Amino acid sequence: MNRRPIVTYAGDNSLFSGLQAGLVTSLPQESVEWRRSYGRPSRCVHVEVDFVPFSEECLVKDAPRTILGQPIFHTYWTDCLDVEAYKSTTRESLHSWMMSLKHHGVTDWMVVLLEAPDSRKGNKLLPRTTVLDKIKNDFGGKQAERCVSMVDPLKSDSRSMESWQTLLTKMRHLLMVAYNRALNKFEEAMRAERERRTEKSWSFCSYFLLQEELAQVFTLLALHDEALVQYDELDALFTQFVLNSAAGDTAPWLSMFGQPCERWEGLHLTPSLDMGIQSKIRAREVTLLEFRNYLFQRQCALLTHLNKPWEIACRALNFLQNTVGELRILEVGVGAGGVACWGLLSCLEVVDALQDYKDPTTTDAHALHTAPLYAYARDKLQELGHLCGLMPGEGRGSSAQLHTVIALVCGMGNDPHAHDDPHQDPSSRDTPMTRLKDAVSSPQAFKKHFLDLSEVAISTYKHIGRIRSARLIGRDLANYYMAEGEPQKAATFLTDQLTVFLEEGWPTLAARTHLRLAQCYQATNDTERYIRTCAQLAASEVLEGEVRKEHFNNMMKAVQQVKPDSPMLIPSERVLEVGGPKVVSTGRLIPGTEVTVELTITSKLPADVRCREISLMLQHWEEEEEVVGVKKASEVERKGSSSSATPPGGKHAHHHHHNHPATVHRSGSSSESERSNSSSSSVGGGGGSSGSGGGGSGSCDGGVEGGEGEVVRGDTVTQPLLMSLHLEYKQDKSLSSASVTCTNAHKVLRRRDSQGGLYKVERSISRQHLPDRLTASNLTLAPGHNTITLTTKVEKRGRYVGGQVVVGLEGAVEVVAGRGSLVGHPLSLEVVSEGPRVFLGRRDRDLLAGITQPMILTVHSGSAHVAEGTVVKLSTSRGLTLQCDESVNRDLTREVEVRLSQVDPFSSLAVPLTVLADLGPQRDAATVEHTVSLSSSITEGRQDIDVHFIPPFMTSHKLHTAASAKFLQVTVTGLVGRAVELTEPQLWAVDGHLPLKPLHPPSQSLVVCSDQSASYMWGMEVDYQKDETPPVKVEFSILYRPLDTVSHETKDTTTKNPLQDLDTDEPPSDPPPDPPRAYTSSFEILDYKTLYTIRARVEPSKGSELCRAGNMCHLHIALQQVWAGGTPVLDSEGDSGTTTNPQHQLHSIMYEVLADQTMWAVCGRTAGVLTLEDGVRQSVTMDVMPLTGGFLPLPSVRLSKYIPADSKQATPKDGGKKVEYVGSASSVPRLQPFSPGQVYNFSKAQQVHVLPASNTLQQEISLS
Amino acid sequence: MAVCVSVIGKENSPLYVWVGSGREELHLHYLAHTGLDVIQEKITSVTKTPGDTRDLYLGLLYATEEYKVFGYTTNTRIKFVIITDAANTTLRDNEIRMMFRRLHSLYTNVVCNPFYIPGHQISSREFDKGVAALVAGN
Repeated sequence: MNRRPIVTYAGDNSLFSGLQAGLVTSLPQESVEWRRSYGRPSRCVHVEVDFVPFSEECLVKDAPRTILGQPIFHTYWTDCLDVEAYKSTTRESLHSWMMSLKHHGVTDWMVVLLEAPDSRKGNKLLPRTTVLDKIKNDFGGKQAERCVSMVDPLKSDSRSMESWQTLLTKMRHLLMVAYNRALNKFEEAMRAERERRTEKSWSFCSYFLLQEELAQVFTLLALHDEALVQYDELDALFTQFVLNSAAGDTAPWLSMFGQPCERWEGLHLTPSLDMGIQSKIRAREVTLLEFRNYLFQRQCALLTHLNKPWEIACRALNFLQNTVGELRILEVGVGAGGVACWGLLSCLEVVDALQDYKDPTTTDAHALHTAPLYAYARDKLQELGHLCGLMPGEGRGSSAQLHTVIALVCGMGNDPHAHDDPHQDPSSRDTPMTRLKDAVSSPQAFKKHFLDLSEVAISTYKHIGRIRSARLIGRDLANYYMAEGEPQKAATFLTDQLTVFLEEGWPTLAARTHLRLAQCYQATNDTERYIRTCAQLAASEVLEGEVRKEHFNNMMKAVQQVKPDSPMLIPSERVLEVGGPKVVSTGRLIPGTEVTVELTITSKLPADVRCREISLMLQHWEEEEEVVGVKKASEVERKGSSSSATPPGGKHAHHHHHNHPATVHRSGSSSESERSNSSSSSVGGGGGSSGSGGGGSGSCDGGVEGGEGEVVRGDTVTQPLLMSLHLEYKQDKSLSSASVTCTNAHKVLRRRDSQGGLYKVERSISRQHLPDRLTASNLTLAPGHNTITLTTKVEKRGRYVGGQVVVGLEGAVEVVAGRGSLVGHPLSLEVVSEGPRVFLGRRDRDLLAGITQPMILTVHSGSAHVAEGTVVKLSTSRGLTLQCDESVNRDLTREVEVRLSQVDPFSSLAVPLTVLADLGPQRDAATVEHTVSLSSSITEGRQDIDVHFIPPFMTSHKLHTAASAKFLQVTVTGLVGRAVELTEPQLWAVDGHLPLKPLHPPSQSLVVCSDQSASYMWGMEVDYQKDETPPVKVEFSILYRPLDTVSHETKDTTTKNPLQDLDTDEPPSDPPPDPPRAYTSSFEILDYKTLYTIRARVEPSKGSELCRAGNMCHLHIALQQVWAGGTPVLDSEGDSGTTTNPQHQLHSIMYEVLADQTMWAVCGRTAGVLTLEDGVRQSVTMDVMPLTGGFLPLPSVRLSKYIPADSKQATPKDGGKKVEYVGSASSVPRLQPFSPGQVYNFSKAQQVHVLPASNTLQQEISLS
Repeated sequence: MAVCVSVIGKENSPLYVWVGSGREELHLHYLAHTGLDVIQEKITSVTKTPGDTRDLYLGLLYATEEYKVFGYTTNTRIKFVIITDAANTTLRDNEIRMMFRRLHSLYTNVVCNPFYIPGHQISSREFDKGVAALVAGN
């Protein structure tokens, strides 16, 4: 690197030599802008030159083969200051110098005139012409700026410094101009040379040196990137020649590179030029390896200068591979292992070199490139290992191999790093060569190096995330370990690799790995894994039949040897494909049911397999009791009739009834809460739930999701869609909409993530040990499709979810198919356990009191069997009796024991009952309430059921008066639609004092029903002789008999046993028609004597014939006391023949005239107090005016007892009624009304004819 | 031209692998599989700058002394790997790129088949023919 461009000096040599040292050091100190031709960007460069004295010889013109060491710039130095002296001597010398330059066509020159600082001062007065002017005049021509003067730089004043710097700048500039000129000339020549490359005489080597010269110039100018471009061009050019050669176009010079390589010295990365190789190139006896090494080393040196070490790493692999390719193309003979040696050494060299550049910030960039380098080095070492017999399992130490080793070591040459660090002992130094030499020296050393390198390669690959590449090296290592006899270690690597292959589904690669693994496991006697691997191989679809068969046999052999006390598990993946289990058995599942499930197993094994047992594990989930419990309780409310109308299978379906106001309630049930505005309840999977065990039955909502924290992924699959009825009600409780909704849709129909690996590889399998499982024994699995029927008996209620499928082979080996590997829907069995339920229901009609009524005792077996003869005991509240229709005992009793016949699970039994609720005195329509208690051995506790009976009719009585005659009317009002025939009405006074005479025909029978009532009338003979009117207790009795309804008449006459015909639509026959039953009702009649009579009449005023509206009329009111003493005085008006009864004196009576104010205007007082004496008739007349015409009802008159304020005396008996004076209230007069029967108004409902008000006016209107 | 053509699915499982006759099938499988490392590397490094439409052609993934492995990935993460002889020096980068383009259109035709389930192995006579023509270089 000592070659530099040359600058010559002439003139005063002694003067220059004083300045030379300063120039050499100062010139490169500052950069100068290099303006380049051909539009290339200008660069700032530093110039370094050598100075030589000028001589004619150095100007000898030859082809510009080189640029360094050539004079490119010429200087002339003088310190002649005297014009005269210049003219005499210097001018001559300068002229001859210039002439010789011109003769050679050199235009890059410079004349420097050294001035003494004081000389100018002295010449201040004579500034006419200086020597500089003269020189410029004589030689400058157009380039006068090439003549410069400077002040002696040895003086250290500022002026001298300034002039020195000016000189330097000028010199640099002119130098660069010269440089540029020279380079252009050189490049032109170089290009011309390159154009000749197709000529036969052309040699790459000489051209290489030429362009390298250019590169060196650039290097000298510190333009490393430009220099690199030159080398890259050379690289590309050479590569292209080789490629052309491969295509058959071999340049003659290329044959030189085809010479055999006897040495394979590795790459040596050093910044300095390898002069040895360069001279070899010049001498055209370089080998390809040497040349490539040289070129790459130059490139690396420049890259190092450019501070791009990662680029070295990046290029290194390509360099290595490319070179190997060129060796192949040019058919270069290299000794055995030579290329590997070279590759390994070079690779390690690069890696080592990069170690020096390891810098925390660029580690990753390195690793990306060093990883393949490590892998490459590892490959090469392996190749050498094979060659030298250092790999395990190959014949070792043969003499041929020893010779190879020796030859290889010889070919490596000297360690280029031997002199790197003289202080270190050469033998202990860790250089690529020492390592390689060590590695080939012995198998142990080789193993160490090989494993080290492999380890580094794998870890570097892992570091940059190239797992597959790392695994591929692992596979090689596995091979090594296998050969080494360490199959355990091999297995580790192989398993890692296998996982990748299986996860990504590369069957061919996986099968190969399995083959290797099988060998490993066989070698390690790992029977379990061996069997597993053999199973995989036997089932592999990518292997040949022979191989599969062989491994199958191996597997079966190994299986036989498995001891029963150490069972083994084989994962079923890729061996057995277990298809979705299908429930075969129909019907609902209850504890104890035998369940049959069909399973499809696709065997990929090449031959039949005998199986000891195949079982499907069942995971049992307990349901949450209370949720279901409440629901069921609310759902069982049903009318008795519907149970006989639905088929037995569908009975248990959770039909929801919004119970209309039923008379039967189960006590304690939450039926009322069901009537919320919006209520919903489950509906079993439509009608189809009758068959499927796993399908329908929505009763398990909340069964699993509740407290079970261990709800696994698959459970959402096994959960059925819970469809339920959803009713929306309006504000007024009327139905707004009805719909079917899925309550758990958000859980079941959740989106599942499709991301993630394609195939999950489960490394570890564990066998579930569950108490519940479906099993089948002693089977043979043929290759291909097998259908297997599994059975079990389910014992617990709840949900069974299918889990693992375990195929027990002969011996103690079991193939386990995990839940995740099952194809299709997982199995889900719903085992329902419902306790038996007993309840009492009515038939379709309302229950009537007093008439024998049918009722039905329904027994739902739930999931249990109800044995024959089970007794249900019913006891009733007082007044209610019942009987069982089938029992022998036909009496109606308050306690009945019903013996049930056998009931199968999920069916129900209806036992018809006849009940009779006593019908007591019924004065209103209130229902009769009774309670029936049910108890049975099949249900827990006692159950009270409220039963409501509607009375068929009610009775009411009324006292009628006709003057003093009294009549008693009893009305029987029908309350229900069912007609009741009434006969033999009887009424009698309980104490017998009051004779009652029926006014209706005795044998008459009347029928009552709703809207139809019957009335009976009795005349009552009141004994007016008696003073007292004691209350009379009267009892009414009648016989009633319900009439048959229409449906009754059309009914099928054949009586069937309802127990046997539950599923027919025929309702159980009604009990035979009842005999008439008696109804009694007693009541009391009070104040049945008439005390006063009223007669009123309206008469027109005098002179008028008729009453006329608007005219005053008279209202005559006559009041009379009925004589209670003996003879009645009611016969005639105005008749006053009465006997005096002292006790009835001085009655104060208040009368009030109550007139309709739209018809009558009453003038004067409308009320007054009269005192009636016994039998005396009192009259009152008042004026009234009719307001309208027509038949007007008379104003009514009301009588009341008047009790004066001051009256202290009490009449203890007053009209049979005791009057009490309460405290001080006596100061106020009081009124006491009469009972209805005590006052008789003759004029009641009388009307008077009133003419319209103005007759004349009307006529006038009609006339006009 | 090529010695191995493989179509690799979204989850890195092979959908189609063609290996030239007389080649070490297993070795080429390994190479194609290992190429996935570099493909993943390239895909993840590119997607860091969102918005730009990256080139589907991933270029040379890596090379061994015998083979060169080239990669290409579709927008749906289907990867194509083509392996050529390292000694085959006449093959230009542009030709490789064209091969991938053709392979992509062949694959598109396969996917267009309504009976093909994406993600399953490709077994189509048309595709076989297309690949055969592709590797023959015409």
